[in-house]
Amino acid sequence: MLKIIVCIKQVPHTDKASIDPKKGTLIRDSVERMINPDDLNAIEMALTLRERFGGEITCITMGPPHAEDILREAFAYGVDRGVLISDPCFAGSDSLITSMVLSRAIVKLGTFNIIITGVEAIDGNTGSVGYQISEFFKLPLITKIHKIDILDGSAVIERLYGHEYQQIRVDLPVLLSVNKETNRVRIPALAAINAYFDNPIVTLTMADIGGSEKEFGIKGSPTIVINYESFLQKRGQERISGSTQEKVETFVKKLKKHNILRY
Amino acid sequence: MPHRIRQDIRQYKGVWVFIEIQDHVCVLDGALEILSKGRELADRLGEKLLAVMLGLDAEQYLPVVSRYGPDEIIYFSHPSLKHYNSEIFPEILADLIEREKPSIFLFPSTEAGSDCAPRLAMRFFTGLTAHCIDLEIADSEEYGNGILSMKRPAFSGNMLATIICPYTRPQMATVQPGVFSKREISGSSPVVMRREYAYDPDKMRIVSLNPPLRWNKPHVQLEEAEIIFAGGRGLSSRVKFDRLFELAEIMKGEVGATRVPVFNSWCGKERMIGQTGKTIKPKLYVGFGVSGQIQHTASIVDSDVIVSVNIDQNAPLNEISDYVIVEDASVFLGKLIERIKRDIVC
Ligand SMILES: Cc1cc2nc3c(=O)[nH]c(=O)nc-3n(C[C@H](O)[C@H](O)[C@H](O)COP(=O)(O)OP(=O)(O)OC[C@H]3O[C@@H](n4cnc5c(N)ncnc54)[C@H](O)[C@@H]3O)c2cc1C
Ligand SMILES: Nc1ncnc2c1ncn2[C@@H]1O[C@H](COP(=O)(O)O)[C@@H](O)[C@H]1O
Repeated sequence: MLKIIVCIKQVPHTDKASIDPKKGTLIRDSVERMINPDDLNAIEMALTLRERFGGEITCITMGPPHAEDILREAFAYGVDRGVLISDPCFAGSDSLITSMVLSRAIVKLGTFNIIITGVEAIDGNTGSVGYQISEFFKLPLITKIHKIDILDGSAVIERLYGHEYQQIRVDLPVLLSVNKETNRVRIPALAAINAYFDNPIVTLTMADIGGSEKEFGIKGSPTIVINYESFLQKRGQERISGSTQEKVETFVKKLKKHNILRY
Repeated sequence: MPHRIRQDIRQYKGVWVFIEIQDHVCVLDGALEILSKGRELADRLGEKLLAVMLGLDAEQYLPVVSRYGPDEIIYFSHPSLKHYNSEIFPEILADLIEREKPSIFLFPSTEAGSDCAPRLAMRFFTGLTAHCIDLEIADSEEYGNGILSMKRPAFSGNMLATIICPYTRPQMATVQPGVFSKREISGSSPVVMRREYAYDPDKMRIVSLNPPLRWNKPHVQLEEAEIIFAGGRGLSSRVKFDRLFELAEIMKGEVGATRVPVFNSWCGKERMIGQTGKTIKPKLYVGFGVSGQIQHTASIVDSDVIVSVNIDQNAPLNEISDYVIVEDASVFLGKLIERIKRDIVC
């Protein structure tokens, strides 16, 4: 039986988020939230492995209390257990500290065979967390997986690596990092909706994973954001007007003027 | 388990650049670009610039790397270094960092760089800023002098974030190829040091079962294209997006995209322009139904002429455009193709 841990993150739904027209920043309160897209593929990978080889799936997420919503959503997909890693002192953690917290929480949860992460989170997009958990546990991380089988405590995987298509074997435990190129996410079963409400969620705080406040969050993170500035390099914005056909004509003239079209 | 060492950061000196070898045949241009930027940073600091290179028959690349002005080159040459390897490379580099203590270590944000840099950051418990679009040395009353200031698009709004890593070393960043320009330095003759490869193969946990098959990545030269037609969500379907290829063909241009067409599989990721895609500097960029979020626009601002075709007269892309065409993107695209074809026939 495989013990599978899936790292999932709650992210703002950027398409629906509204931007403050004056400040040009996201209006936080209006933001709808969702599971990071790649992390749905991570859940899918876990479900497929459980179907084929048996096992138990635990989703873990580090975030504020409302990150619980994505654990409930994960239950609807058929995930067995949910762990919310939440503590006020984790707020503002950069990817190194996030990786540390997730890794220590995984240690706390006991033994595992497979950890699955998304390739990148759409809001942080450092794409670093998977690699850093891999370093913490000194376990290989496999990406760009085309095919995976579990045989006698090893994973046999076909993957793309640089410009090679490889068949490899790795002894468990191992980390997998997946995105939408890896698989297609199923639609949650209606019957599972009850699980959405019924399954218990375990919460871990700093006290559970150990350490002191100054190691986490903004204080503990090696990177510091010192400035935000607006990025606008305004140009002439000459409006090309008229009927569609007239616009095409004017545009072609402009292209000739700039020596881009030459006949 | 990584533990937090109170490093004496004053011991850490010098700017390092990871020189990636592409497909074991040439030096990645993106690495040379970063080397040129590294030259500026090192001069500003009054410290050395060092190029680190791992490869098969790595000697062959020394002349090229030398031309871009490093003070020193450290290289390893061994058959096991033919391709990037996520077990071997970080191990060798970690050992080097341990001994030589660089203050700054820069990587291209390629597949290899994006694998190696976060691993090293974790080993040394230091910060990493991914996908930077600018680097400079800054002095700060609060954080000290001569620190690396890294700029990258912020998550939301059209904002750039400036990030520093003041208390731990090395200060690490990855940079997308195309962001900086490469510049040869005449008369440069770096000190070249060969180091012996001594990785114990028994440590490898990933075992290859069959000889690998070569797989050619789809390759699109967006970085070199002079004309780019980029499509966004406003093109609304694959069929409409496909017409960009028609226009690109008759105008000898290339097709680019925002993340939306890539996510919707209207085209491959190799066409994505932006923070996590490519940085372009064409003579002409035309955005069809592109809103102009910073993750996209930060990588197009060096285009000579920018044109926005959008039904929304207030789309952010319009502000940074030379010409604005308020129109349905696919209707305009269709009519433009017709018009230019007619010109060619005449
Ligand atoms: C960490 C991170 C990294 C990212 N990296 C990248 C990256 O590398 N590259 C990238 O491109 N994006 C990236 N993004 C996404 C980016 O923020 C934007 O979401 C994306 O660029 C928007 O694409 P779009 O303009 O096609 O779509 P939208 O923002 O949805 O805009 C569509 C536009 O089409 C117009 N439109 C609609 N209908 C029509 C019509 N019929 N005719 C004409 N116009 C029409 C609309 O007015 C609108 O302006 C990243 C995001 C994050 C958070
Ligand atoms: N706060 C978090 N909680 C759980 N998983 C996370 C968190 N942040 C990142 N991850 C995982 O790491 C992957 C890569 O994230 P990132 O490195 O931030 O781009 C995500 O797809 C998640 O699987």
